[in-house]
Amino acid sequence: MFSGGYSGRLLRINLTTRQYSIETIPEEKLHLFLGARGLGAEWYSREVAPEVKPFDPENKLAFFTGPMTGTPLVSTTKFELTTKGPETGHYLCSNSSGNFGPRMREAGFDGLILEGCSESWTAVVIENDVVNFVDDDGWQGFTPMAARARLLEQLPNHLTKWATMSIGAAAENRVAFAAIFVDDGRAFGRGGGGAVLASKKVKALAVWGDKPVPVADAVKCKEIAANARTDLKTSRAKHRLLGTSQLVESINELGCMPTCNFQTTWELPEKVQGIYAQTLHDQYYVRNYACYRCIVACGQMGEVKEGPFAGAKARPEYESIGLLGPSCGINDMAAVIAANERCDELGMDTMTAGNLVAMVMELFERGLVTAQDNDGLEVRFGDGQALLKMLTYIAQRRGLGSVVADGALGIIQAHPEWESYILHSKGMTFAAYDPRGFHGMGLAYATSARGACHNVGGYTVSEELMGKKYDRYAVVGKGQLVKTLQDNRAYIDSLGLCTVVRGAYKFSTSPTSETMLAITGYDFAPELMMIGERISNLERLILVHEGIGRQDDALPSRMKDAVPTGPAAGHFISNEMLDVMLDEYYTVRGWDAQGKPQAETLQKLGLKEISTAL
Amino acid sequence: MITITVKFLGGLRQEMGMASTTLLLPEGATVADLEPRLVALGLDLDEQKNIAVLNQRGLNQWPPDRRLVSDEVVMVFPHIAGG
Repeated sequence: MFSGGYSGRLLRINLTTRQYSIETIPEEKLHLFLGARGLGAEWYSREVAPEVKPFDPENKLAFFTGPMTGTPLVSTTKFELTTKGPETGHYLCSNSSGNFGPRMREAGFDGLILEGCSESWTAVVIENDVVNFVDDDGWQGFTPMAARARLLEQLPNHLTKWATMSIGAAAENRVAFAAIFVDDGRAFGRGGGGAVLASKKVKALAVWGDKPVPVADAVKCKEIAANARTDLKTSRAKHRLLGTSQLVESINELGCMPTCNFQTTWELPEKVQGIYAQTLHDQYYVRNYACYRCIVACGQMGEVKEGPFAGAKARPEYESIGLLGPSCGINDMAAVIAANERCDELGMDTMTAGNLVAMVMELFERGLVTAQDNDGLEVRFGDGQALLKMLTYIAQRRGLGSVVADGALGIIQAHPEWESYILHSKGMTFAAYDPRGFHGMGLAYATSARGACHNVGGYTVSEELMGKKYDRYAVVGKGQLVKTLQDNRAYIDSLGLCTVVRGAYKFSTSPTSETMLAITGYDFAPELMMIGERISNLERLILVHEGIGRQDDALPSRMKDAVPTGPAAGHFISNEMLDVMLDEYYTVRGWDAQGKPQAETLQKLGLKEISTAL
Repeated sequence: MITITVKFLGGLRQEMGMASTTLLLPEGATVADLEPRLVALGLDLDEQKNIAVLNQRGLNQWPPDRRLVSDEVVMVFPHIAGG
């Protein structure tokens, strides 16, 4: 069926026995689930049982590439992590850029499974078909970058050929939102994959190979790549110039910006301009950062040159800026860069970290906690130094950090009285868009397969502003919108391609055939949206099997409060409004009133067999 | 005459060389009259590139024959998805 796009090989490593094997991925599965996120979900449905807890030895991690990963096209950098995540306690999918996915392909693998637990701290080194282990008890506490450097020093040709993944101290301390860092700056940020890797005593991985990544039509791929480069030079020019940080200004002006832990959704522009993209560019910009084969290079490396945060370096994206910035009452880009750097050094997700420090700040503001509760540290809105210290406290499980480190669900378990100050769905904290400004984002957060996420859940903001049939404050029509966005994203996450460049390859809701034909030799285009729908339904089946239902497709109580200030003032999402959106969403999805996929839906999508086996 | 403020956000401010400008339109001008005036400023309103918003709603979400009112605000910003 396929003359390119896949090796069809999966590397399975047992960390307990240090044995490994190479398996074949059946072509039928590649056809049904495409790659990366799709293959990860299919694998998870067979190998990670509902009763397994995130840190149980029985939990596993899978890394799958997509058919585009590592091919000669532009921005073919993505690969997917699938595991049971500690932030939600459920199925977790997470994607990352970096060189590791492409290097996996060059080593000849479409998938990598880690299972069991190492007895001692180790690094997994994959060189083509050979796996070795580098045991090293001395690198506990190392930052992800230091661990990467220490591992590379022990490998031949370390400056040129290896791609790596590594974790930091937060993961070692089982912080529920610890990340896995890829190479020198990208990450599987959300959901706590880093803590799962730490539970298996794997501090780092390295991979290298010398096999060509198979494509069906190399000449056509070259032509498509040239056209994509031409397109992206103009269509993504401003993305290159200022990166995602330029969303700060527009999202604030639209009244959607999380401000002081989502207590409101807007701040005076003269204050917020301290974290505008232009401020980052004019005062802190050092250089652009590019992922594998990417000419957009949207990453904006910033460095603080003077003041209390001098020396801090980071590449803050919009979500990190919004949640470490205004949501913490901070409109100082130097403080945001320093906080982003601190998260990177500790190995934590900037988004959940920002959300939960903002929650701590609100607890202080309301007098619900004092410095005595937090090992002497007072943490208030607008205090950048306190933000940095609190991030360290979380990673060290010190003071209130000992509770915050367990994530939203852990905090609620320990302090149910604090629940109304935590912005989350299914345990994953909000992205940097307040759904009261764009109601579709509320449905996206509530139904996302991994908890409140603007990517997996669906980024509705653009459609709610541009679509003629949409009203950003209406609830009717959002069910179909969110379903379409989720299915579109599910297939894109399965290709191995960065979503920023998808337009250059026409990977819309009506994709064209050219690119996938050139890569795989098979005309995937007519099936891609259905593949996305299949993946969305399989993920839902998994969640249902893990006990998730309508009662979990929920929004936090703060969404019922009217926004007090700014352009979205007066708007809210009541339970009744969410119910209208959920009813419509379940109907268009072919799910029952409790959010369970119905038999005819599963039949249509070819999931009946998997459903029966679950 | 009707005065409409046009604000350029994000990367568009640098591209346009200014934070905002003012458009003067004749009395009775409608939403349909606005788009060609924005394009004449040099703005590319291809929805994959830039988003234009009038009074907090997308320009094309308004009825084309809806009459403009003085002091209304148009914001234009690059089409960027979150990161």
